[in-house]
Amino acid sequence: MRIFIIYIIAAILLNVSVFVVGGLFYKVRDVIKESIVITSLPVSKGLNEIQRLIDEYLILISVQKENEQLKKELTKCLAGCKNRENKTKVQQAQFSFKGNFDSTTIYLRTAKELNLKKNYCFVLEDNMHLVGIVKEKIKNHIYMAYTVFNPSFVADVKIVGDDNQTFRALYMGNEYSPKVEFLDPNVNVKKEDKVYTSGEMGIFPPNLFIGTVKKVKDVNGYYKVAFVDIKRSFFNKWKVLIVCRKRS
Amino acid sequence: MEGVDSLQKKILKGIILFITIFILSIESAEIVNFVYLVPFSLPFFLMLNSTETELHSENFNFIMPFVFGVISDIVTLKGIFVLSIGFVVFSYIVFYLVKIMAINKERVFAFFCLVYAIFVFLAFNTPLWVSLFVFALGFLQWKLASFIISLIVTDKHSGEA
Repeated sequence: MRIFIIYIIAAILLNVSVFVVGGLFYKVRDVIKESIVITSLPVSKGLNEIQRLIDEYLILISVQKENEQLKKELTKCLAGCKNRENKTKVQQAQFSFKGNFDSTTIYLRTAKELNLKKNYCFVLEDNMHLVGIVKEKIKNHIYMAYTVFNPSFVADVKIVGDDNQTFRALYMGNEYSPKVEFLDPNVNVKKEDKVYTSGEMGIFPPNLFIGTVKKVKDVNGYYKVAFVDIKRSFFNKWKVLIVCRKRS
Repeated sequence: MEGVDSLQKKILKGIILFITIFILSIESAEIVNFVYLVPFSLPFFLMLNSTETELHSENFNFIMPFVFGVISDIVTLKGIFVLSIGFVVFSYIVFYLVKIMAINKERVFAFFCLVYAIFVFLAFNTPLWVSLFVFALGFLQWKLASFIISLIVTDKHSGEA
Protein backbone atom coordinates (compact mmCIF):
# COMPACT_ATOMS: atom_id res chain seq x y z
CA MET A 1 0.00 0.00 0.00
CA ARG A 2 2.89 2.28 0.84
CA ILE A 3 4.31 1.77 -2.63
CA PHE A 4 1.02 2.78 -4.24
CA ILE A 5 0.91 5.97 -2.20
CA ILE A 6 4.45 6.80 -3.27
CA TYR A 7 3.53 6.23 -6.93
CA ILE A 8 0.38 8.33 -6.64
CA ILE A 9 2.37 11.18 -5.08
CA ALA A 10 4.99 10.83 -7.82
CA ALA A 11 2.29 11.01 -10.49
CA ILE A 12 0.76 14.10 -8.90
CA LEU A 13 4.20 15.72 -8.72
CA LEU A 14 4.76 14.93 -12.36
CA ASN A 15 1.42 16.49 -13.28
CA VAL A 16 2.31 19.61 -11.33
CA SER A 17 5.81 19.75 -12.78
CA VAL A 18 4.38 19.80 -16.31
CA PHE A 19 2.66 23.07 -15.50
CA VAL A 20 5.67 24.48 -13.71
CA VAL A 21 8.46 23.45 -16.09
CA GLY A 22 6.60 22.76 -19.34
CA GLY A 23 9.63 23.37 -21.57
CA LEU A 24 11.60 20.56 -19.99
CA PHE A 25 8.65 18.21 -20.37
CA TYR A 26 8.44 18.88 -24.10
CA LYS A 27 12.18 18.22 -24.44
CA VAL A 28 11.80 14.89 -22.61
CA ARG A 29 8.84 14.03 -24.82
CA ASP A 30 10.84 14.76 -27.96
CA VAL A 31 13.71 12.58 -26.71
CA ILE A 32 11.35 9.68 -25.96
CA LYS A 33 9.59 9.97 -29.30
CA GLU A 34 12.93 10.13 -31.06
CA SER A 35 14.12 7.01 -29.24
CA ILE A 36 10.90 5.20 -30.21
CA VAL A 37 11.42 6.13 -33.85
CA ILE A 38 15.07 5.02 -33.80
CA THR A 39 14.19 1.74 -32.07
CA SER A 40 11.46 0.92 -34.54
CA LEU A 41 13.60 1.81 -37.56
CA PRO A 42 15.04 -1.68 -38.36
CA VAL A 43 11.65 -3.41 -38.20
CA SER A 44 10.05 -0.51 -40.07
CA LYS A 45 12.61 -0.79 -42.87
CA GLY A 46 12.22 -4.55 -43.03
CA LEU A 47 8.44 -4.28 -43.19
CA ASN A 48 8.64 -1.64 -45.90
CA GLU A 49 10.91 -3.92 -47.90
CA ILE A 50 8.39 -6.76 -47.51
CA GLN A 51 5.61 -4.41 -48.60
CA ARG A 52 7.62 -3.36 -51.65
CA LEU A 53 8.14 -7.00 -52.64
CA ILE A 54 4.44 -7.75 -52.14
CA ASP A 55 3.51 -4.70 -54.23
CA GLU A 56 5.88 -5.77 -57.01
CA TYR A 57 4.42 -9.27 -56.95
CA LEU A 58 0.87 -7.90 -57.10
CA ILE A 59 1.80 -5.64 -60.02
CA LEU A 60 3.36 -8.62 -61.80
CA ILE A 61 0.21 -10.67 -61.26
CA SER A 62 -2.01 -7.84 -62.51
CA VAL A 63 0.19 -7.32 -65.60
CA GLN A 64 0.05 -11.03 -66.37
CA LYS A 65 -3.72 -10.99 -66.02
CA GLU A 66 -3.92 -7.94 -68.24
CA ASN A 67 -1.73 -9.61 -70.85
CA GLU A 68 -3.88 -12.72 -70.81
CA GLN A 69 -6.96 -10.56 -71.14
CA LEU A 70 -5.45 -8.67 -74.08
CA LYS A 71 -4.43 -11.92 -75.72
CA LYS A 72 -7.97 -13.24 -75.39
CA GLU A 73 -9.39 -10.01 -76.78
CA LEU A 74 -7.00 -10.16 -79.73
CA THR A 75 -7.87 -13.78 -80.50
CA LYS A 76 -11.54 -12.94 -80.22
CA CYS A 77 -11.12 -9.94 -82.49
CA LEU A 78 -9.23 -11.94 -85.13
CA ALA A 79 -11.81 -14.72 -85.02
CA GLY A 80 -14.55 -12.11 -85.30
CA CYS A 81 -12.86 -10.52 -88.30
CA LYS A 82 -12.62 -13.86 -90.06
CA ASN A 83 -16.14 -14.96 -89.27
CA ARG A 84 -18.02 -11.86 -90.25
CA GLU A 85 -18.70 -12.37 -93.93
CA ASN A 86 -19.80 -9.51 -96.11
CA LYS A 87 -19.81 -7.18 -93.12
CA THR A 88 -16.14 -6.31 -93.03
CA LYS A 89 -13.56 -5.75 -95.67
CA VAL A 90 -11.77 -8.99 -94.81
CA GLN A 91 -13.09 -12.46 -95.52
CA GLN A 92 -11.60 -15.90 -95.89
CA ALA A 93 -11.60 -17.86 -99.14
CA GLN A 94 -10.08 -20.94 -100.71
CA PHE A 95 -9.25 -21.07 -104.41
CA SER A 96 -8.44 -23.61 -107.02
CA PHE A 97 -7.09 -22.12 -110.24
CA LYS A 98 -7.05 -22.92 -113.96
CA GLY A 99 -4.80 -21.53 -116.63
CA ASN A 100 -1.14 -20.60 -116.63
CA PHE A 101 0.69 -17.52 -115.58
CA ASP A 102 1.92 -16.74 -119.09
CA SER A 103 -1.57 -15.68 -120.02
CA THR A 104 -3.02 -12.32 -119.15
CA THR A 105 -5.45 -13.64 -116.58
CA ILE A 106 -6.07 -16.68 -114.51
CA TYR A 107 -9.33 -18.34 -113.55
CA LEU A 108 -10.16 -18.92 -109.92
CA ARG A 109 -12.76 -21.25 -108.51
CA THR A 110 -13.81 -20.61 -104.95
CA ALA A 111 -14.60 -23.47 -102.58
CA LYS A 112 -17.86 -21.85 -101.60
CA GLU A 113 -19.94 -19.09 -103.05
CA LEU A 114 -18.61 -15.63 -102.25
CA ASN A 115 -19.88 -12.34 -103.43
CA LEU A 116 -16.57 -10.94 -104.67
CA LYS A 117 -16.44 -7.82 -106.72
CA LYS A 118 -14.00 -6.32 -109.16
CA ASN A 119 -10.67 -5.19 -107.71
CA TYR A 120 -10.97 -7.15 -104.48
CA CYS A 121 -7.41 -8.10 -103.52
CA PHE A 122 -6.47 -11.43 -102.08
CA VAL A 123 -3.54 -11.97 -99.75
CA LEU A 124 -2.02 -15.03 -98.11
CA GLU A 125 -3.76 -15.77 -94.87
CA ASP A 126 -0.68 -16.53 -92.78
CA ASN A 127 1.62 -13.64 -93.68
CA MET A 128 -0.57 -11.17 -95.64
CA HIS A 129 1.57 -11.35 -98.78
CA LEU A 130 -0.18 -9.98 -101.84
CA VAL A 131 -1.30 -12.67 -104.31
CA GLY A 132 -3.56 -10.96 -106.77
CA ILE A 133 -6.68 -9.04 -107.58
CA VAL A 134 -10.15 -10.06 -108.81
CA LYS A 135 -10.89 -8.71 -112.26
CA GLU A 136 -14.26 -10.07 -113.15
CA LYS A 137 -16.93 -12.46 -111.93
CA ILE A 138 -17.65 -15.17 -114.51
CA LYS A 139 -20.11 -17.40 -112.68
CA ASN A 140 -21.10 -17.95 -109.07
CA HIS A 141 -17.87 -19.68 -108.10
CA ILE A 142 -15.59 -18.66 -110.92
CA TYR A 143 -13.65 -15.43 -111.18
CA MET A 144 -11.14 -13.99 -113.55
CA ALA A 145 -8.12 -12.53 -111.75
CA TYR A 146 -4.61 -11.17 -112.08
CA THR A 147 -1.89 -12.50 -109.84
CA VAL A 148 1.57 -11.15 -109.17
CA PHE A 149 2.83 -13.71 -111.70
CA ASN A 150 0.64 -12.61 -114.58
CA PRO A 151 2.26 -10.16 -117.02
CA SER A 152 -0.82 -7.95 -116.98
CA PHE A 153 -0.52 -7.39 -113.24
CA VAL A 154 0.61 -3.82 -112.53
CA ALA A 155 0.74 -2.21 -109.12
CA ASP A 156 2.03 0.99 -107.63
CA VAL A 157 4.73 -0.02 -105.14
CA LYS A 158 7.44 1.32 -102.89
CA ILE A 159 10.77 -0.23 -102.07
CA VAL A 160 11.79 0.27 -98.47
CA GLY A 161 15.53 0.54 -98.05
CA ASP A 162 17.87 1.32 -95.18
CA ASP A 163 16.77 3.98 -92.69
CA ASN A 164 13.22 3.45 -93.93
CA GLN A 165 13.92 5.33 -97.15
CA THR A 166 11.21 4.59 -99.70
CA PHE A 167 11.46 4.64 -103.49
CA ARG A 168 8.23 4.62 -105.48
CA ALA A 169 7.84 2.84 -108.83
CA LEU A 170 5.67 0.36 -110.75
CA TYR A 171 5.57 -3.34 -110.22
CA MET A 172 4.95 -5.58 -113.21
CA GLY A 173 4.04 -9.21 -112.78
CA ASN A 174 5.83 -12.14 -114.35
CA GLU A 175 6.06 -15.80 -113.56
CA TYR A 176 9.86 -15.95 -113.62
CA SER A 177 11.11 -12.37 -113.49
CA PRO A 178 8.64 -10.06 -111.75
CA LYS A 179 10.16 -6.61 -111.54
CA VAL A 180 9.84 -3.05 -110.31
CA GLU A 181 10.38 -0.71 -113.25
CA PHE A 182 11.13 2.97 -113.68
CA LEU A 183 13.09 3.49 -110.52
CA ASP A 184 14.98 6.75 -110.40
CA PRO A 185 18.61 6.10 -111.50
CA ASN A 186 19.93 7.90 -108.42
CA VAL A 187 18.13 5.74 -105.83
CA ASN A 188 20.17 3.33 -103.77
CA VAL A 189 18.15 0.15 -104.01
CA LYS A 190 19.94 -2.93 -102.75
CA LYS A 191 19.45 -6.64 -102.63
CA GLU A 192 17.06 -7.82 -99.89
CA ASP A 193 15.16 -4.52 -99.82
CA LYS A 194 11.45 -5.16 -99.44
CA VAL A 195 8.73 -4.29 -101.91
CA TYR A 196 5.32 -3.16 -100.65
CA THR A 197 2.24 -1.72 -102.30
CA SER A 198 2.10 2.02 -101.83
CA GLY A 199 -1.68 2.30 -102.22
CA GLU A 200 -1.43 5.71 -103.79
CA MET A 201 -3.37 4.82 -106.92
CA GLY A 202 -6.27 3.55 -104.85
CA ILE A 203 -6.40 0.10 -106.36
CA PHE A 204 -4.38 -1.85 -103.82
CA PRO A 205 -4.42 -1.34 -100.08
CA PRO A 206 -1.12 0.14 -98.88
CA ASN A 207 1.73 -1.82 -97.23
CA LEU A 208 0.94 -5.27 -98.62
CA PHE A 209 4.18 -7.21 -98.98
CA ILE A 210 5.02 -8.48 -102.48
CA GLY A 211 8.60 -9.72 -102.32
CA THR A 212 12.26 -8.85 -101.86
CA VAL A 213 14.69 -7.35 -104.34
CA LYS A 214 17.07 -9.97 -105.73
CA LYS A 215 18.86 -7.96 -108.42
CA VAL A 216 19.07 -4.33 -109.57
CA LYS A 217 19.71 -3.39 -113.19
CA ASP A 218 20.54 0.04 -114.56
CA VAL A 219 18.90 0.70 -117.94
CA ASN A 220 21.37 2.90 -119.82
CA GLY A 221 21.35 5.46 -117.02
CA TYR A 222 17.72 6.38 -117.64
CA TYR A 223 16.14 4.35 -114.91
CA LYS A 224 16.70 1.29 -112.79
CA VAL A 225 14.89 -2.03 -112.72
CA ALA A 226 14.71 -4.13 -109.57
CA PHE A 227 13.94 -7.78 -110.04
CA VAL A 228 11.76 -9.18 -107.28
CA ASP A 229 11.87 -12.55 -105.59
CA ILE A 230 8.41 -13.78 -104.61
CA LYS A 231 7.80 -16.81 -102.46
CA ARG A 232 5.91 -19.30 -104.54
CA SER A 233 4.68 -21.43 -101.66
CA PHE A 234 1.09 -20.35 -102.10
CA PHE A 235 0.78 -22.43 -105.28
CA ASN A 236 0.02 -25.32 -102.97
CA LYS A 237 -2.29 -23.59 -100.56
CA TRP A 238 -4.69 -21.25 -102.10
CA LYS A 239 -6.11 -20.24 -98.81
CA VAL A 240 -6.29 -16.50 -98.81
CA LEU A 241 -7.93 -13.49 -97.28
CA ILE A 242 -9.93 -11.22 -99.47
CA VAL A 243 -9.18 -7.59 -98.82
CA CYS A 244 -11.43 -4.94 -100.20
CA ARG A 245 -9.38 -2.04 -101.40
CA LYS A 246 -12.23 0.36 -102.11
CA ARG A 247 -11.65 3.83 -100.77
CA SER A 248 -14.69 5.55 -102.25
CA MET B 1 29.02 -6.26 0.72
CA GLU B 2 26.56 -8.95 -0.36
CA GLY B 3 23.69 -6.52 0.03
CA VAL B 4 25.38 -3.93 -2.16
CA ASP B 5 26.21 -6.59 -4.75
CA SER B 6 22.65 -7.85 -4.90
CA LEU B 7 21.35 -4.28 -5.20
CA GLN B 8 23.75 -3.58 -8.05
CA LYS B 9 22.67 -6.79 -9.75
CA LYS B 10 19.05 -5.86 -9.29
CA ILE B 11 19.59 -2.40 -10.80
CA LEU B 12 21.47 -3.97 -13.72
CA LYS B 13 18.70 -6.49 -14.25
CA GLY B 14 16.15 -3.68 -14.07
CA ILE B 15 17.97 -1.70 -16.75
CA ILE B 16 18.27 -4.79 -18.98
CA LEU B 17 14.59 -5.56 -18.45
CA PHE B 18 13.66 -1.98 -19.23
CA ILE B 19 15.58 -1.99 -22.50
CA THR B 20 14.28 -5.44 -23.49
CA ILE B 21 10.64 -4.61 -22.81
CA PHE B 22 10.96 -1.20 -24.46
CA ILE B 23 12.42 -2.63 -27.67
CA LEU B 24 10.07 -5.63 -27.80
CA SER B 25 6.97 -3.49 -27.26
CA ILE B 26 8.00 -0.91 -29.85
CA GLU B 27 8.74 -3.56 -32.47
CA SER B 28 5.45 -5.34 -31.78
CA ALA B 29 3.55 -2.06 -32.00
CA GLU B 30 5.37 -1.28 -35.25
CA ILE B 31 4.26 -4.59 -36.74
CA VAL B 32 0.65 -4.04 -35.64
CA ASN B 33 0.57 -0.50 -36.97
CA PHE B 34 2.18 -1.61 -40.22
CA VAL B 35 -0.67 -4.02 -40.83
CA TYR B 36 -3.38 -1.67 -39.57
CA LEU B 37 -3.24 1.52 -37.52
CA VAL B 38 -4.41 0.43 -34.09
CA PRO B 39 -4.65 3.12 -31.37
CA PHE B 40 -2.94 2.60 -28.00
CA SER B 41 -1.09 -0.49 -29.21
CA LEU B 42 2.27 0.67 -27.82
CA PRO B 43 0.94 1.49 -24.32
CA PHE B 44 -0.93 -1.81 -24.29
CA PHE B 45 2.17 -3.84 -25.11
CA LEU B 46 4.22 -1.83 -22.60
CA MET B 47 1.57 -2.54 -19.98
CA LEU B 48 1.46 -6.28 -20.70
CA ASN B 49 5.22 -6.71 -20.68
CA SER B 50 5.87 -4.53 -17.65
CA THR B 51 3.19 -6.43 -15.73
CA GLU B 52 5.01 -9.66 -16.49
CA THR B 53 8.06 -8.40 -14.54
CA GLU B 54 6.04 -8.42 -11.32
CA LEU B 55 5.00 -12.06 -11.62
CA HIS B 56 8.41 -13.47 -10.87
CA SER B 57 9.75 -14.03 -7.39
CA GLU B 58 12.34 -11.28 -7.84
CA ASN B 59 9.88 -8.42 -7.98
CA PHE B 60 10.72 -4.79 -8.63
CA ASN B 61 8.05 -3.14 -6.46
CA PHE B 62 5.98 -2.17 -9.51
CA ILE B 63 8.67 0.20 -10.70
CA MET B 64 8.52 -1.14 -14.28
CA PRO B 65 4.78 -0.55 -14.73
CA PHE B 66 5.19 2.90 -13.25
CA VAL B 67 8.09 3.89 -15.50
CA PHE B 68 6.42 2.55 -18.63
CA GLY B 69 3.21 4.21 -17.52
CA VAL B 70 5.06 7.54 -17.35
CA ILE B 71 6.47 6.92 -20.86
CA SER B 72 2.98 6.05 -22.16
CA ASP B 73 1.59 9.20 -20.52
CA ILE B 74 4.24 11.33 -22.17
CA VAL B 75 3.78 9.73 -25.59
CA THR B 76 0.02 9.19 -25.62
CA LEU B 77 -1.65 11.61 -23.24
CA LYS B 78 0.79 14.46 -23.72
CA GLY B 79 1.37 15.43 -20.13
CA ILE B 80 -1.44 14.08 -17.98
CA PHE B 81 0.04 11.39 -15.78
CA VAL B 82 -2.77 8.90 -15.37
CA LEU B 83 -1.53 5.77 -17.11
CA SER B 84 1.44 5.58 -14.71
CA ILE B 85 -0.99 4.82 -11.88
CA GLY B 86 -3.22 2.78 -14.21
CA PHE B 87 -0.33 0.49 -15.17
CA VAL B 88 0.54 -0.06 -11.51
CA VAL B 89 -3.09 -0.86 -10.66
CA PHE B 90 -3.37 -3.21 -13.61
CA SER B 91 -0.14 -4.94 -12.61
CA TYR B 92 -1.42 -5.35 -9.09
CA ILE B 93 -4.71 -6.84 -10.37
CA VAL B 94 -2.81 -9.35 -12.51
CA PHE B 95 -0.43 -10.04 -9.63
CA TYR B 96 -3.42 -10.64 -7.36
CA LEU B 97 -5.16 -12.95 -9.87
CA VAL B 98 -2.03 -14.98 -10.59
CA LYS B 99 -0.28 -15.10 -7.25
CA ILE B 100 -3.08 -14.84 -4.67
CA MET B 101 -5.98 -16.46 -6.53
CA ALA B 102 -3.60 -18.82 -8.38
CA ILE B 103 -5.28 -18.45 -11.76
CA ASN B 104 -3.30 -19.66 -14.75
CA LYS B 105 -1.11 -16.80 -15.98
CA GLU B 106 -1.73 -17.54 -19.64
CA ARG B 107 -5.48 -17.40 -19.22
CA VAL B 108 -5.26 -14.05 -17.43
CA PHE B 109 -3.11 -12.48 -20.15
CA ALA B 110 -5.18 -14.06 -22.92
CA PHE B 111 -8.27 -12.56 -21.30
CA PHE B 112 -6.74 -9.07 -21.18
CA CYS B 113 -5.55 -9.39 -24.78
CA LEU B 114 -9.09 -10.34 -25.73
CA VAL B 115 -10.49 -7.36 -23.82
CA TYR B 116 -8.13 -5.04 -25.70
CA ALA B 117 -9.09 -6.66 -29.04
CA ILE B 118 -12.79 -6.20 -28.27
CA PHE B 119 -12.13 -2.61 -27.16
CA VAL B 120 -10.35 -1.89 -30.45
CA PHE B 121 -13.11 -3.61 -32.42
CA LEU B 122 -15.96 -1.74 -30.74
CA ALA B 123 -14.43 1.64 -29.96
CA PHE B 124 -12.53 2.23 -33.20
CA ASN B 125 -14.61 0.17 -35.66
CA THR B 126 -11.61 -1.80 -36.86
CA PRO B 127 -12.28 -4.88 -39.01
CA LEU B 128 -12.71 -8.17 -37.19
CA TRP B 129 -9.53 -9.67 -38.65
CA VAL B 130 -7.54 -6.74 -37.25
CA SER B 131 -8.92 -7.40 -33.77
CA LEU B 132 -8.04 -11.07 -34.07
CA PHE B 133 -4.59 -10.18 -35.33
CA VAL B 134 -4.05 -7.77 -32.43
CA PHE B 135 -5.20 -10.44 -30.00
CA ALA B 136 -2.89 -13.08 -31.47
CA LEU B 137 0.14 -10.79 -31.74
CA GLY B 138 -0.44 -9.36 -28.24
CA PHE B 139 -0.52 -12.82 -26.75
CA LEU B 140 2.47 -14.07 -28.72
CA GLN B 141 4.63 -11.08 -27.90
CA TRP B 142 3.70 -11.45 -24.23
CA LYS B 143 4.78 -15.10 -24.40
CA LEU B 144 8.09 -14.00 -25.90
CA ALA B 145 8.51 -11.27 -23.29
CA SER B 146 7.67 -13.77 -20.54
CA PHE B 147 10.34 -16.14 -21.84
CA ILE B 148 12.98 -13.41 -22.05
CA ILE B 149 12.13 -12.04 -18.62
CA SER B 150 12.34 -15.52 -17.10
CA LEU B 151 15.85 -15.77 -18.54
CA ILE B 152 16.92 -12.44 -17.02
CA VAL B 153 15.17 -12.67 -13.67
CA THR B 154 16.20 -15.55 -11.44
CA ASP B 155 13.30 -17.25 -9.76
CA LYS B 156 14.03 -17.94 -6.11
CA HIS B 157 12.16 -21.25 -6.27
CA SER B 158 14.30 -22.62 -9.03
CA GLY B 159 17.41 -21.22 -7.37
CA GLU B 160 16.58 -22.89 -4.08
CA ALA B 161 15.75 -26.14 -5.80
